[in-house]
Formats: sequence, C-alpha cells, structure tokens
Amino acid sequence: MSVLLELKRLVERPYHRHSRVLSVGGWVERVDNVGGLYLLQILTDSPLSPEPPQFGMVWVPGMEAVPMTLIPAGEDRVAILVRPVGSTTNALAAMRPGKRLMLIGPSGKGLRLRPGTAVVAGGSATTVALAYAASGYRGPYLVATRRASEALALRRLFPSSNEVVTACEDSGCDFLGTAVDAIREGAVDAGAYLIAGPKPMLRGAYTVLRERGVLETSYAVVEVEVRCGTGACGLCRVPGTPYLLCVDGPALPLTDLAAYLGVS
Amino acid sequence: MIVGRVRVEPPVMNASGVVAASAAGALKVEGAGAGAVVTKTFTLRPRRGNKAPMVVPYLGGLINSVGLANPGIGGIREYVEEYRRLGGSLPIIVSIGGETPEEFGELAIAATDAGADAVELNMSCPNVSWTASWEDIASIVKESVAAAKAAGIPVWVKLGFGKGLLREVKAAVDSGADAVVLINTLPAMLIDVWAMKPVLGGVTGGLSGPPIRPIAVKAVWDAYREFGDSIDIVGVGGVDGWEAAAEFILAGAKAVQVGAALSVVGLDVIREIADGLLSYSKKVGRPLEELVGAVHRGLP
Repeated sequence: MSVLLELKRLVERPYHRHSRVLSVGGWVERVDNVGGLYLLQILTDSPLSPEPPQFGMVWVPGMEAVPMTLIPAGEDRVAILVRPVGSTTNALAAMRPGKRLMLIGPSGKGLRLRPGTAVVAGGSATTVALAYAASGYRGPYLVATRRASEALALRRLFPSSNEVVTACEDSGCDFLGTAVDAIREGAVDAGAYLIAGPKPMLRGAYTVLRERGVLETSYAVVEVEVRCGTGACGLCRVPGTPYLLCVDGPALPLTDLAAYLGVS
Repeated sequence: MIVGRVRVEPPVMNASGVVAASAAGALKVEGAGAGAVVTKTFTLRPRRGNKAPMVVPYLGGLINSVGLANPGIGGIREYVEEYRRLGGSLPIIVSIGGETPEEFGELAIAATDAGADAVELNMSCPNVSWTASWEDIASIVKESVAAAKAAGIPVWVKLGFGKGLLREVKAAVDSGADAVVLINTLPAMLIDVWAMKPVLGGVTGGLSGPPIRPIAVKAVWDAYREFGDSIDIVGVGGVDGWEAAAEFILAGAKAVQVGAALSVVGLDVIREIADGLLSYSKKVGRPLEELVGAVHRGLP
C-alpha cells in the first residue's frame, strides 16, 4: 500500500501546471488624460495578478506589441500608463472604452520592498511607482518628470496617505531638479532605494547611492529591448550581466549593474 | 547517456530558441541542471525576426513566430567563446538553419571551428519561408546532412511532424546523421475573435508545449519502431515534467529537450525532470538506458 501511495504522490499533479505567463484578452474600460499621459483601465477576460514591477506585452490589434508596466487594479483589471511616443502607444492613447486589446504577462519577477524603501521613478518609468502604490506600498516615493504639470497630475493618482515628493526641471514641484539631484540633496532619505528610469538616471543614482553607502540594499528597474516578453526567446539580455530581463528582472540589484551602466 | 555521439548527462536539454539565445541564457540552462545546451538557430545572414507579439502563451504551451532572430554566422563563434569564457562547461549543440545544403555545410564548419560539440540542423522551422518552399524535404535532409558531416562534427537533424516524417528520418539515417530531434513546433495560428485579427506579429507561427506532446510522442514511437537503434532520437514537444520525459524515453528517445515549459513553468523544470527521471528509474528498477524504447518491447 505504501508503494502505491508513493506512486500516487509522484504522479499527482495537474496535467497543465500553473502558467507563469498568460495571454489574456481585455477591454478598455476607461481612459484618463494625466498631464499628457494616458491611464487606461482594462477589464481582462481572466485575472493576470501582476506584482510590481512586473510588466506585460500590450497588443493593439494589427500593431506591434510593446512592453508596459502592469498596474494592479483589482480582480480582472489592470491599468497601464501610456506615454504616446510611437505608433502603438499613440494608438493606445487614442483608444476609447470598449476597444479590444491583449496582454501577455505578467513578465519578470515581482519585487516585494522592505518597509521604508524609497521608490524613485522618472520619465516613462513613473508607472513603476504607480504600480507599487496600487499594490498598497505606502512609500516614500519620488516622482521625477521634466514638466511640473506632468508630475503634479501623476501625484494625484497616488492615495493621499502615500508619501510622495515631486521633482521637475521647472517650478511647481517639491524639488527643482532631476531625480538624481533630489536623491543627492536628500529629498527622499532612505536606507534602500528602488530606482526606475532611463539609463542616464540609473547611472547617476548608482554613483550617489554608492557614495551614501546604500548600494547593496538598492535595486534598479532596467529597460532593454524586449521582443517576446515571456523569457522564451532569450533576447532580452541585460548587457554586462548574467540577467535576462523577462526572467530575472525588470528589477535587478544595483550592485550587479556597474558594467551595464558603465560605472567603475 | 551518449546521444548522437555527445555525452548528455542528465539526458535533458533546452530546445533550440528557448532561453539560450545568448551565452547568458545558456548559463541559465546549465545552472538549471541540464546535460547539454542547444543554441538559438544561426542562419548565414543576420535576421531580426518578426514583430511582437512573437510569443503567445496558449493552453499551457506557446505559439511563437520569432522567425529565427539571430546575428548570423558570425555570431556562432562569439556565442560559443563567450559561453566558455563565462565558465560554461556543458556540451554545446549549435542549431543551424540553412536555406540550402551548401549553407548548412558552411554553418557547420563555422560551428566546428568555434568549438561546438554537435550541430542540430533546423530543417523544420515553420516561421521562415524557405522550409515551406522545400518540395522534397527528404532529399534536402540527405544533402544537408552530408554537407554538415563534412565539417567533422556530430550531426543532429531536427524534423517537423508531417506525412513525410519517416521518409525524412530514413534520409537522416541513410546519410549518416548521428541523431534526429523530433519534433519541431506545429504550424499554427491564433485569431482574436473580438478584434477579428491574427494575434502573432508574423501572422502564423508554431505551436509548442503540452498540446503537441501526444503527437511528438507518436512521432518518436514511429521513428523508433521503424529504425530502432540505427539512429539516436531526441524527443521534444510538450516536455513539462518527468512523466512527459519518461513517455518520450519509453517511446524510444534517448534524451529530451524542454522548450515551452522553460518559459511557461520556469527554468527549475529542468532539474525536476532530471531528478524525476532518476527517481522513476529507481522505482521501476531499471536504468534509463534500458527504458529507451521499452514500450516497444512490452516491458515489464
């Protein structure tokens, strides 16, 4: 009997195991203009349950799919923040409720932040901060954009209980300057950071955080060209590291990114 | 296990095109416990591949239209050397995709010079135009194997499922190939009925994963029944756990490749398969070598 039970235990598992990455159709439920960016609420055919900062490939029928951070928005819903810069993102920005799209994801790994970790997000990566806020993380956050109008519009998307500092290069924000300036000047002071933004911003942050002795506890959300978004094609290598973005990222330990960022 | 003149221990590898597109990916496959690494398919000229979506999860598997994105023949040496420089120690099987037998020969020489342990001739990718234009695949197999063998490296041939499969396997056997890899993805398409449009950037693609496993097992079973030990068989198609791997081995495969599951389930599935096969072999009281093709011999 025990042998039979053991054999049963060996074979007892679902025929199709739980998939790490799914393809899920969705319907645009609502579109909000947020200081020139577009926040799309999407009702999905089945739950995706992304954990920040996971992302997904967003397919607009007939167009090339693009990778975007998935913002949790409740059961059977996700949101994406779109900066209209290319043909697909322009098509997304022009979408109206009821339009169809598809999401392939969630890709990469979720990263649970230890309390007190500062999330610093700049440029199109400000969506990473929104994803953490939507998942219940209270901050502190530093949202950095070029224009104050964008930063202030984004600020309104955070729950009022969150600690959010804005930084921009014109007047009107809490801090005048770039994200890196803001970290250097202590606009958000923390023992650990998650930095999300373009490569020059990550490079600057790396140097400042090293000087402050908090590199080992900090992460960066990296952007490289993503082709399949599932980890299958293996083309999303982060140069100078052993990491594949769609498998290991998009958040990676800052200490492992010196070669990628070109800092010595 | 010696498979196609290469020691593959444990007898589990990644399938070409999955994860190990770069040396970094190959190291991940090695770290996950594989017995060999299979590269992305290299073609003579660089290929960017199709637009996204190029991979769509479907029924526990994937439909892909990657379209053999690769840096071309010059990338072979770079890949193999970087893998070795970074400490990679597994046998490396370089997948090559020629449009003609001559191109297969040229690519095989490049792989040999780079220090590869074997070449896998990709003769069945459903996402490129030239394979569709081949009228007599068996003849192309024969000539391509001969051209690749001239490079002096073990030659594996990856074939797709179809009416002519056994003729193609026979062509591989007759031309002295060291192994056949059965099967490639099946031609497939996905349409979003609400958008009324094909989803894949390449419009059509190839289906892999558990949905094709029974077909792949049948292909291995057919080939082993017909050709027995005259050629080694590597089974691929929906291997997502040790039972699936054991099915292929019992049908006649000496080793398996894991494709869709590396993405859908995760890299850990390789170690689960390797450990599971070992445990299964102990449970049934026979070494894995003895289990190859066992279903044909009516064991136990």
